Amino acid sequence: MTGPEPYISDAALLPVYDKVMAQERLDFEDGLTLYRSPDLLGVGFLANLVRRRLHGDRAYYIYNQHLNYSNVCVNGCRFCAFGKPKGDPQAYEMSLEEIFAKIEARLHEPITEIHIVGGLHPDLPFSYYLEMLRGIKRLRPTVHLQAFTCVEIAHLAELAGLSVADTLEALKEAGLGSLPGGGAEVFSSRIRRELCPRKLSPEGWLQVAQTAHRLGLRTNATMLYGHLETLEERVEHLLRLRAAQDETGGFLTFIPLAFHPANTGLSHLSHTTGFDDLKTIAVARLMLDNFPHIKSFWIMIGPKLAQLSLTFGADDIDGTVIEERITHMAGAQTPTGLPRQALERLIREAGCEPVERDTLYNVIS
Amino acid sequence: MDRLAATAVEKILAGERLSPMEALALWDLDLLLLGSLARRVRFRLHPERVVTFVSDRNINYTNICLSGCRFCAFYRPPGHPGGYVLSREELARKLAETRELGGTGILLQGGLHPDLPLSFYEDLVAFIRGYGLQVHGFSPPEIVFFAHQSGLGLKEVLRRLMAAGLTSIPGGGAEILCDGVRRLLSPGKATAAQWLQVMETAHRLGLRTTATMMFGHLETRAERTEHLLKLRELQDRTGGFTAFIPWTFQPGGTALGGEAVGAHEYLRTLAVSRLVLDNIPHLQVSWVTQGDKVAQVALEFGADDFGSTMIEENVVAATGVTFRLSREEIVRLISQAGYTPRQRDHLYRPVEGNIREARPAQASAGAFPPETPPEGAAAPQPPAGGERGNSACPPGTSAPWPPPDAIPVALIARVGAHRDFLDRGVEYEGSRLLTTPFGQANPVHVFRQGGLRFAVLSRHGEAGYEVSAPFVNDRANLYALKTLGVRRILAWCAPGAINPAMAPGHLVVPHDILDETTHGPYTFFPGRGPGFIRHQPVFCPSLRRALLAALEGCPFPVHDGGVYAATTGPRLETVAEIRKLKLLGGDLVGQTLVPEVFLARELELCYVALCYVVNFAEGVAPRPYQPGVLFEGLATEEETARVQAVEAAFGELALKLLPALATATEECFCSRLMERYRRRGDLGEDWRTWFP
Repeated sequence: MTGPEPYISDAALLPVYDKVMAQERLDFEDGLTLYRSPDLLGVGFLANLVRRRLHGDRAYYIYNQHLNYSNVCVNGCRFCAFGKPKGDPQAYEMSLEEIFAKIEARLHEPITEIHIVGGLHPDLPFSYYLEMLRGIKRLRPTVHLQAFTCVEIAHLAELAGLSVADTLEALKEAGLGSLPGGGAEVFSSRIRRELCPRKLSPEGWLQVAQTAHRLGLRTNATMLYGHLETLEERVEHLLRLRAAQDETGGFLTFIPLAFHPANTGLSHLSHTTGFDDLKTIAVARLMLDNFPHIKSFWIMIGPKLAQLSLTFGADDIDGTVIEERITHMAGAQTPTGLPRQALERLIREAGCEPVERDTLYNVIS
Repeated sequence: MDRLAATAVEKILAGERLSPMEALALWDLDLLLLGSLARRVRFRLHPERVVTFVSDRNINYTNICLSGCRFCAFYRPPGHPGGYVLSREELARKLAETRELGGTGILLQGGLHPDLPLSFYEDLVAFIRGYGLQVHGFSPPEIVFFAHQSGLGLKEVLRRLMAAGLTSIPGGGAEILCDGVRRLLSPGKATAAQWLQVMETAHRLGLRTTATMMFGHLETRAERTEHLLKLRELQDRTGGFTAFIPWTFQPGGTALGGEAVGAHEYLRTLAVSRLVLDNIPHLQVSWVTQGDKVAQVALEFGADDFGSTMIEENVVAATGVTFRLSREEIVRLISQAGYTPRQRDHLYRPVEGNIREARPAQASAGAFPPETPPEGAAAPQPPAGGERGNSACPPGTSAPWPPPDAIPVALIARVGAHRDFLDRGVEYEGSRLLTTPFGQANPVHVFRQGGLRFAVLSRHGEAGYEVSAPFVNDRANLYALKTLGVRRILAWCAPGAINPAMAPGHLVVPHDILDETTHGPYTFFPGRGPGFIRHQPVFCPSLRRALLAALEGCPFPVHDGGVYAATTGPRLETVAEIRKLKLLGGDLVGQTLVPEVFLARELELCYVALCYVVNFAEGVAPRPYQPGVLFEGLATEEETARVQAVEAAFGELALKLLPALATATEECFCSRLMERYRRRGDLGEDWRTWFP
């Protein structure tokens, strides 16, 4: 059944339905209509139409290893429970030897991606980062390195005294394969003044991403939702990503990140609800018509919601992640890793076909 | 979509019942379609955007259990060092704490302990009731076990527990109602037939129950369907299930082990349950097994109840699943899904006065303001002042009275009287819950038969005898009926006979009242008057005439006239008191009609009573004391059979009498009883201005 009946119960969604069926681009007002509708199933139905059009029954996952090399960070964003100033008793930084030991410890596993994210460390030299990538590549020559968010890249460029492009070129030469999507937060100057005044600006973030695209590096994009932002600000965020993608086309995947308030400067807030999580996935799928993939990160919203998100617009539930720190520092109650069988079972139960992918969505057979 | 599934969808959209094959075909539909169908059925049953929850505490009186179910991580075998039986001190502490936290009841369950006598459980229930808390207690396997241990039989065990104050029975232990599965899963536990038999017996005694299903272990989807159909069939016969609660097997720490099914299968099962169980009113989410996020999403898959705040939960916690939700969190989740949260009790009646507002939503982003309700749904009403979850009677006069859709006549009757009409298939418009200046009224059920709309209100509650005679809020009930436009009331009641000519099973239309009660409230105007009203006659003469005429040809003996002597309960009268009432001219004795009739007259309502005699009063006929029974002990078996015949005929009789009362010519002064005080300027023209 693809007619709006009985899926859509909110008549305000019918014009959006017509556009989705005609494959027309949705505008700002459509985005708000979707967010404001109480009809969760109606919104999910629309997103599911688009997901099926793009991906049929396939749902992707990846066998990956997360590496959070240091939590020392100069930014001090209020929504973060991970970053610590240098000298804080909870601050840590891994030596290159420790990092390589972590990689070696799992060499027997069929890992296809190492996912590397850290804080903005004030004085680790640029060579540390280059050596990190080179060393990992030596241990695992075929692995894909998805490393350093746009925010870290801009920081490294400053440290190295290089342009963003030259920094990216140097890292690419050392083995960098693609950029993760973190650090985008919400592209609203109001929110950034309030929560992360020292962080790379939205323009800066998009510029790094687009520079990477022009150098042939694919990147991801994220949105941190569920703190102080308005629905309008969420939709604007999506539209800016869509416009940037129209220009350079290098974004692979959009990943909404549910805010986890515990241990952050916003611990008085409640965590996001299931309605909000699924709605955000669905609206992203509908607005970001030029993004190939929408990923729900089970680490953030839990395996149950991640499974449901496959019916609400997501086509990817990320990876087997063994050692995740960033979300767990913010009180996430989810497991820190899921075995392959568990991921595949979640996907099958949702009526999809599990497909193991590499970072660039090549199918691993 | 195959043909059967397509037929199923068509039938659901048309509001028709599914055949077993169609029910089975539902499982193959896509999740969003199932959800949208289930949501549609939910709003058909509950048009308001309201989600209820109960504030209670789980108390497990013992973990010692002979059953040894393979899916349970809670039990300890007898003699195990980790076994316990809860002490009275510990219990008292938990009960006091529950009260403090705004709890209204206790979910009381335990293991099958080899050595505890039935009196232990009776005392336990009475002890909890003593704290003003309802007891939703003892799942069927426990009842079966008690019956077996005591040798008393199911009915007697249930009667005793009801007499001790049991409010309702939880539907646990149903697991999957197929013996093939049960033999593998819980060989020591009640069979499917025993489980159903306990529920049927309870329903027939007037005890409401819930029903559950634990799935995601060894059963097939066909067996889940069979489970649902067995419940639907029983509900058709008894109507005693209040709610259905499916949950997923949690393998941690159990002998069975394995993997829990995911949220997708949970929501699918929830939606199928809503679609198959067309006759069970409520569907509850299981946040304990699913977590807050999935539980909230489940509200779009047919559920209308969020379950319990569960101040303590031991059994699921023993499997390592520890989802915890505070009351504030439940209210927030319900609100942010665009519904109004409403606290209820264990009989699904609203609890007044202590719903607090959800915390302000995080910016505008976390909340989805319910701007566009689903089709057919009423616009969401925010809780008035954050205080009341149900509609309040307007104290002012902005709306016209009588309202344009006034209900002309009402029946005030016995426990769960509306079910007699539901069972007869009388067209049902739904129930109204009104909060009046005099407190919460009992639910008013509105029916329509042959063009006549009538209201039914159960004085003593809807399931058990929850509100005994001295504690009925007559003022709130009458105020609510008057608000709905009611002008004429038929009061059905069951007194004992002082006059030996009025034998059990006879009908009496009393003509006068002898008031020997000691507790009011006797007036809507406490402390101020307004003044005297003559009660000659007490009962509306127009309605009495019409009633007696309509009773012509009725199969039971009818007495025209009788003095109804009213006493204050909850105790029954002594032999000497009955002798006194007889000397004073009383024919019948009861605790129901006063002060109801006098209050009705203050509201200028036409009021008539129809009594069916249920026993001889003390000392009128020799009846030896029998432990454990009440009115049945005051009547012989033959008399009881006659009384039961009247009760069985009640619905049909009422359907004959109500139209006669609605159309009776008004030749009385009932509607002008307060005229003197209006003229004097003490009271306004509109009755709604009479009360502050």
